[in-house]
Amino acid sequence: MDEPVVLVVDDSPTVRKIVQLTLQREHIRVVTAGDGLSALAAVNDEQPDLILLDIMLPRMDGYNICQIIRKNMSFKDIPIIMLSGKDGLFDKMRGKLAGSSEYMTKPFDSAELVQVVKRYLDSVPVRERAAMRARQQQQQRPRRRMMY
Amino acid sequence: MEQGQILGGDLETLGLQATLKMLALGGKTGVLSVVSGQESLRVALRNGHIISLDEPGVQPPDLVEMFRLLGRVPRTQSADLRRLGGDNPNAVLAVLVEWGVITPAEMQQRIEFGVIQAISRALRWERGRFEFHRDIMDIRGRIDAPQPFNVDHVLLEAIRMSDEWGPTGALGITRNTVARWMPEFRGEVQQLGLAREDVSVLCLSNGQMPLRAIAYGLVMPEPRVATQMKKLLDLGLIEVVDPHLEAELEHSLINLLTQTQHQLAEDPRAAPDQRLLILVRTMGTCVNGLLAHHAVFARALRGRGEVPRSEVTRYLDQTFTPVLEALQRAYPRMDGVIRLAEGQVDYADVLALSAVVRGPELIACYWEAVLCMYDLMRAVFEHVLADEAGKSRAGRQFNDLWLAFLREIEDDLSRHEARLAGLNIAVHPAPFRAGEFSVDGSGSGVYGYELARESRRRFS
Repeated sequence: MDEPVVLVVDDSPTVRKIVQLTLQREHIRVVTAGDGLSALAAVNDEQPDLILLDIMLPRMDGYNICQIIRKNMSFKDIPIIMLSGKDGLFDKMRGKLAGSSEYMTKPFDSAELVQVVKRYLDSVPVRERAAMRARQQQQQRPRRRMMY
Repeated sequence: MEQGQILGGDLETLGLQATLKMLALGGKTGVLSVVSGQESLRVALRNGHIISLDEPGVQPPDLVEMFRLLGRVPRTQSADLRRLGGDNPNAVLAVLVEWGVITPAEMQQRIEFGVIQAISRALRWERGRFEFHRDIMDIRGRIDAPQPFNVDHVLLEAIRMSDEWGPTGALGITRNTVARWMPEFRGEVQQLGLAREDVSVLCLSNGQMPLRAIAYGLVMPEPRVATQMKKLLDLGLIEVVDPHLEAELEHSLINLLTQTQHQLAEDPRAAPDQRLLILVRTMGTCVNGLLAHHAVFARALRGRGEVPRSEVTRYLDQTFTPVLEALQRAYPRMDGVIRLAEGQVDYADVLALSAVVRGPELIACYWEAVLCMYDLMRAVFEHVLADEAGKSRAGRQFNDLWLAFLREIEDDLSRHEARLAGLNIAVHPAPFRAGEFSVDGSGSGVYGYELARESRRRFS
């Protein structure tokens, strides 16, 4: 119940599976989305503690998703790690400007990914969110209104 | 006190068996240390007899838990036994003798069995180094067995055990295999007609003890435990896991697929010929990554210490050449173009085809190279997974991951097939003939039929 939740947004099913397999070993619950709109729905439904976000996505790109989340009062504090094959300085800066907390370049090393994810999950606000989510689930309150 | 090395050399020159025999005949006293790759062993001798043995890096068997699971020590006493004996099996045995649970003869038999097991393991090491030291203090601190062991007897039994592994090796179970009870078994165990030995192996299959520990606990040769385990596996009572191998396979597979997927995502809008070359390179990298991993963790090569590179290459060639030959018959243009060399797949000639062929024929060649590489990649993965992880839970997870990756490749291929059809280029159809050939040449079993059905649906 108090497992941290990570949302993985990537159009590649392989990457989603890889991240899922890697993080589940660390007792982290992983939810996945394959495009921008599903990602926003998952943020609303699952209230993740951290988001791993690809940039090139169908329907809405990673920068847009990042900006939408940062503008939402309920979800603006969720750490967002951009996970992209683009490793140019311009892309990293654009990710930073959109509000990402960290930028990781694909292909990533699984151990490095775990290390970065854990660093954010161990931070205090994330733990507070997990506790809050657990309380909410216990009280079985109705879901929040969709944010977009 | 006398110390220092008095003998040393290569195992290739003087094997462990000959070295031990020589020390026994000379009535030597000291410690023989043997190192081969990651494996090592220390045997303490006094007047040419084995008095103790140490396997650095090998977890000692949890005798307390075994005696509890077998019902020989009640749960209430097991905590006391653990406190008194600690992690040292010989200390636990001494307490059990004191409590009257086992006789001193059984204790002696168990310690001797442990020595035979360890020597049997080390007899398979063909390369490495040995050293003999007169380290009297070390020996004094290690006097464990009530009586010393005769080297000839130990060697004879160890060779017997090692030989028995030969036919049993094909079962897909190693001495490090861990088995656990299947949680979803719903049948009546009593009606399965299990023998006493089967029940004992089943009792100890708690998902924590490797086969070698179960063998030690039951004082039963490892190959016989492997046979019982296979029987229980076939009955659906247990599933096998090899945590170390699974962790290694997971690490290699995840990093390999991460890199391969990244390569696959390169330039999706490239011209058809360039895109096909990207696919060939991507799958070629993946096949070579799998082969490099298998060269280290293949069941036939494990537990033998440092294996010569030539033998590793021979093993890979023997295993995968029949697969490649079958594929070359299916894709005749690739005969001699894609080949195995030094345990890796060599596809450099595919990349150089543009210098020899042009136009639609070049595209057709590239397309066949893609299909050939795709089938080869699947066959290699199927073999690696079956050999290293088998039917374990992790094996099923890796298979799911692999299917996700294959779907991405298949999507790419189906897009290309349509694109080439649009360009009126006649190419070999993409039938994805999974199941028509197999790694063992029997034409059945090894390949993924489930995926074949999926492929047919997707490409119909």
